[in-house]
Amino acid sequence: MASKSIINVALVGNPNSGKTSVFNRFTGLNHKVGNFPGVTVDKKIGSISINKHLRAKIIDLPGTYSLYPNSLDEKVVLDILMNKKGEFYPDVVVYVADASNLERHFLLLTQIMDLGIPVILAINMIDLALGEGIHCDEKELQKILDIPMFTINGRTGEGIEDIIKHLPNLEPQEHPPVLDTTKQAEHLINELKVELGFDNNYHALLVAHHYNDLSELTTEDKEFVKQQNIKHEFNSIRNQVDETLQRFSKISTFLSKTINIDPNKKGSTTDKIDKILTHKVYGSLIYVSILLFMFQAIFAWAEYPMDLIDHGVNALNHFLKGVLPDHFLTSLLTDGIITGLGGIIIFIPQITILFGLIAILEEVGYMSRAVMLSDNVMRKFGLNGRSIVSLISGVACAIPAIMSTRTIGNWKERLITIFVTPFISCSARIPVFTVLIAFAVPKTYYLGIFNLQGLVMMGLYVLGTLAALVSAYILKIILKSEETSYLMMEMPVYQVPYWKNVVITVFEKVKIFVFEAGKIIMIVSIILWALASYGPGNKIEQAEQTVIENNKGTNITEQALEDLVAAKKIEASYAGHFGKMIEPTIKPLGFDWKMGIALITSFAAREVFVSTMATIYSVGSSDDEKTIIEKMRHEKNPETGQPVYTMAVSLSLLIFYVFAMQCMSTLAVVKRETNSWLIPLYQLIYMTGLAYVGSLIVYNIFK
Amino acid sequence: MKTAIDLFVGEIGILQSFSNQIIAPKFLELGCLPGAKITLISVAPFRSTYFFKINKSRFALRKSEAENLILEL
Repeated sequence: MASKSIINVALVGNPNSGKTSVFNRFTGLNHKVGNFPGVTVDKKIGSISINKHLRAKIIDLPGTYSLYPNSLDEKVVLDILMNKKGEFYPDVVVYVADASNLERHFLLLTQIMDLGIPVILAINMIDLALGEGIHCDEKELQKILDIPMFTINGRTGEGIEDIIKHLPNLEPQEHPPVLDTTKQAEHLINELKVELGFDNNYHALLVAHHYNDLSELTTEDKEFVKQQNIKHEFNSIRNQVDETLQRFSKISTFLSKTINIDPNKKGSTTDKIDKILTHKVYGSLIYVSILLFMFQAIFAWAEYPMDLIDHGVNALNHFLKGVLPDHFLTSLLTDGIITGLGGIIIFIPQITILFGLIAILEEVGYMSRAVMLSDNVMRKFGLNGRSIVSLISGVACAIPAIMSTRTIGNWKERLITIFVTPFISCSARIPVFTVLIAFAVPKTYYLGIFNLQGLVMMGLYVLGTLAALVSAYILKIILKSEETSYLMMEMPVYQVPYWKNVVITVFEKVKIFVFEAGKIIMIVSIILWALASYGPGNKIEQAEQTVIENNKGTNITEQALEDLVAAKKIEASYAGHFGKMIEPTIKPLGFDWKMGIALITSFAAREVFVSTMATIYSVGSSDDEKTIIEKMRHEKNPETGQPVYTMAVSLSLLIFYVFAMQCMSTLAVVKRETNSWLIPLYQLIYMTGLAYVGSLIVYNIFK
Repeated sequence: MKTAIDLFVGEIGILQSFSNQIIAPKFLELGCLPGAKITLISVAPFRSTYFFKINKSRFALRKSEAENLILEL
């Protein structure tokens, strides 16, 4: 097949222009999510075939209001549109504009047109605009703008085909700039054009504004622009204000000829809903109810699929052990790989439910209201209203939660959010909590409805949240920042959720979890299996022989003997040696070497505590169906004969798991998002230190 | 001088100018220009965050941000 030529099509638009739906309409699930090179800004690219000769790479750029960026996301948009040699420089921009608010959406449109990039205008959500009584004379508008124009509907897909059909027929767009910006800084622009070889006036002007953020410039170029700015007394803010005002004045002149607003249509539904949902009393009550509902949903709805996965994995292992020969490969497959895989997929139900609910709230338009209602409280702790999305997501998994801090423009607030999010109890802690609470806390009922075990579980979540807030407050005092923090957030109109977007968002989040966390959990599972199955020299065989020798002639049952052999074997394994090595450190917390093994492996991911316990107690044991809880209940201290899992030990472990930073995948993501080794290191030391002290105190109180 | 935070819930004001020149361009690019119609829709608890309709769009602004919007008398 002859190689097709490929064109870059960038989707650009304001936040809330419905760009995401349009992108999903273009590519469906057929797209890749990643980062733009060198920055942690979401990059979504989908490749589609236009015809026999042409493919289009659809690039979804972050939403922005203008080419004057306020956040990392927006800087990426600017950089891509400015760098003609860049990998993502578009051959054409598809500009998505909301029909109900063309005036505002046309600011960025005219800026991109003036940069000389060919633009296709896609007017979105025209049905909503008509509902508000806004009529647009499209023919007249096209005549004035002189660019290809389509009316589309991102939700139904209407008009998308027309744009795709138009792509092979792109023509260079040569029209005078919408706004002649040369007059503002004529000499400076000319000097930059001559010296740096730009051919576009507006391009040169933007270089004068943003030279520090542009990858197309070398260090010498930047220094040159800086000197020129000083020489020509270039006032960036004054200039930006002038440009923006002049653009809007042009835009409103030509829109007045094309837009017709029916004055009889009044009072949009969104305003009526907002009177209740953002009301300081009702709004707050509804907000808290929604949060409680979400937590309830993760626990109640996820239980059934999680049980199913749990039983399925056990049944599969049992079946495989039955049919496959007794070989180390069978053991690797069942106790290593399948158990590890089970430990990953067991969390998918909870992650799906929580991110599904968040995506629905986002789609409906409620999430922005939640941000507004949280901003005050969040700010007291050095966070931003937008941090609430990360903190809620943290209940499922810290990894996508930390990645969603990207919308926080202020670096200090973003850093604090990243730092404290892992304190929020994630779904990986639930199995640990469930197992340990079952030991430490009696199933007493108060007032007939409050189960003490449930209350303790809730207490642990509250404790984690408090740790997050107090730590954020401390960081707020320690970290110094000159950067001003902004909320200034647009509230979208309320809409019926578009389910395709919800499904795609959830799919992306689950994928992040499976690939970011899953691979590390998997590797650790296999290493753990190996450490528990092998020991130095022939110590394992010796241990087995010794047990059998010692019990010869006694009337011990076969089952008890096997369990004893298993226990001695693991004690003799590398894992056992490891655990014993750290035992002196953790003894003050009430932990023994077996818990030590589990603590170490938990540093790969917390839930591995449970699967470690499963591995430790099941390796060599004949009875795999016994649940881990049963096995731990029968665990006795070999010296005293007392149960190992006393209340004090269980509570101490619980506290440890609430605070400790025990997730390698999270640390890896923090490293990537902050571009620093120090921050994840501080996080590890701080959280684990807090866990150690907390456990020490709790153990000594209840001992 | 009356600013956007002096509005009552439901009251409409007309934007005259900005008191802070650093924040002005941020408002401008949101389409919040002198002459814009500003309606206060609601106020979050503790009067910390204000929810406005500015022309056809809706924005949540902190008190410190909204104070910069000077209204016509």
